[in-house]
Amino acid sequence: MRNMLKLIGVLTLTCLLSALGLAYVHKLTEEPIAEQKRLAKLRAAEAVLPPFDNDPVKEKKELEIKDKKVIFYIGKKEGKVVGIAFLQEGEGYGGFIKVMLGITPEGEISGVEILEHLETPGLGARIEESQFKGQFKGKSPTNSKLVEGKLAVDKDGGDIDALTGATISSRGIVSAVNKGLRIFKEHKEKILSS
Amino acid sequence: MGLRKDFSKGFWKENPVLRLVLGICPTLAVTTTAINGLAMGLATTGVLVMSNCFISLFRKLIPEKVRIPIFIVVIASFVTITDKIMAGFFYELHKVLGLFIPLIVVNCIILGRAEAFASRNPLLNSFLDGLGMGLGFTASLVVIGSIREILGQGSIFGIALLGTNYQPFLVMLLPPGAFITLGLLLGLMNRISK
Repeated sequence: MRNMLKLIGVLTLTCLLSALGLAYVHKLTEEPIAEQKRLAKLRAAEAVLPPFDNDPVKEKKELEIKDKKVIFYIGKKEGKVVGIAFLQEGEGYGGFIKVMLGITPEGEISGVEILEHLETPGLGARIEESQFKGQFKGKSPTNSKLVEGKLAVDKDGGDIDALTGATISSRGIVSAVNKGLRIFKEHKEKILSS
Repeated sequence: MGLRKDFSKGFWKENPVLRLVLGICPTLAVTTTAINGLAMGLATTGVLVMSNCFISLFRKLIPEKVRIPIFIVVIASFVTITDKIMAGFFYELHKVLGLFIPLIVVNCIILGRAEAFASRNPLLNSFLDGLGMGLGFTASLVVIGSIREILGQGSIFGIALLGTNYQPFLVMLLPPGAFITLGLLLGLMNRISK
């Protein structure tokens, strides 16, 4: 009995010390991690917007779309809106892929950037290569081959080149882009009004 | 006891992957490229050295009956600390490896060394054992990663090697490629050591 109490005691103590240590590390790294995530968002917004001269993170706009808060980063040049960037998700092979999408006021895609993904390294992870994500630039529902009113990969009859061996990952990005295009189309006035 | 032997045995005679066949889960999962193998190996080495030292220091205080749960708590804590610090201060590296860091917890090399070595040997020996085993693990991962990257993508450490005419052997990047490479290397190792 005494022996057992000792075992329980040692184990409890170990876990307690571990919890204290982890809490300390968490406190230490909480701010840097949040800051890194914010910077990553800003960099992605910069990468997908056409050249701008304002601070899109400062001039952001929050809208409630289908019970979900979406933040629109608005890029302006000489006071005129040149593009908006916002985050969308698509389902890939390993989980959800977070995509930053840039759209011009005319409804043309100005850029696509991958923020987070869990795709297979060497295969699906190649969605990060500019050769793949770059092909979305300049595309819009009016100048692309649409399948059921949406952009689609070549395998499904569209004109987005899917990655070899990673069709599911490629479809994930395309679906995120399509969702974004739809949101833009449906809420254009609200997003662009200042 | 030979300190040099404690350090060097991890590279060949008791190489964790190719001789003891331990830690196969991360070995198969991350070795799609040489750089992934290297980074995973080094992260594991870090955790292994820390856990070996810690367990060796407290080896006389840890009751025999609850040693395994204590080892696991210690290892899991070090892995979480590594994960947090990487996310906060090495964001780019964390983006690539983030998915694999939690996998270190279930790497049986670490628990294996804690049980077989660190809980029975003095600090310096345990430190060298952890370092040697970790670097031996890293070396195996880099070799497997290089083979798969060369055959599957025609490059090594991200540098194109075989030119654009090379038709990549895609299966090498997929899970079967990992098994094939590991199997052939194990066979080769057995052949040489016989």
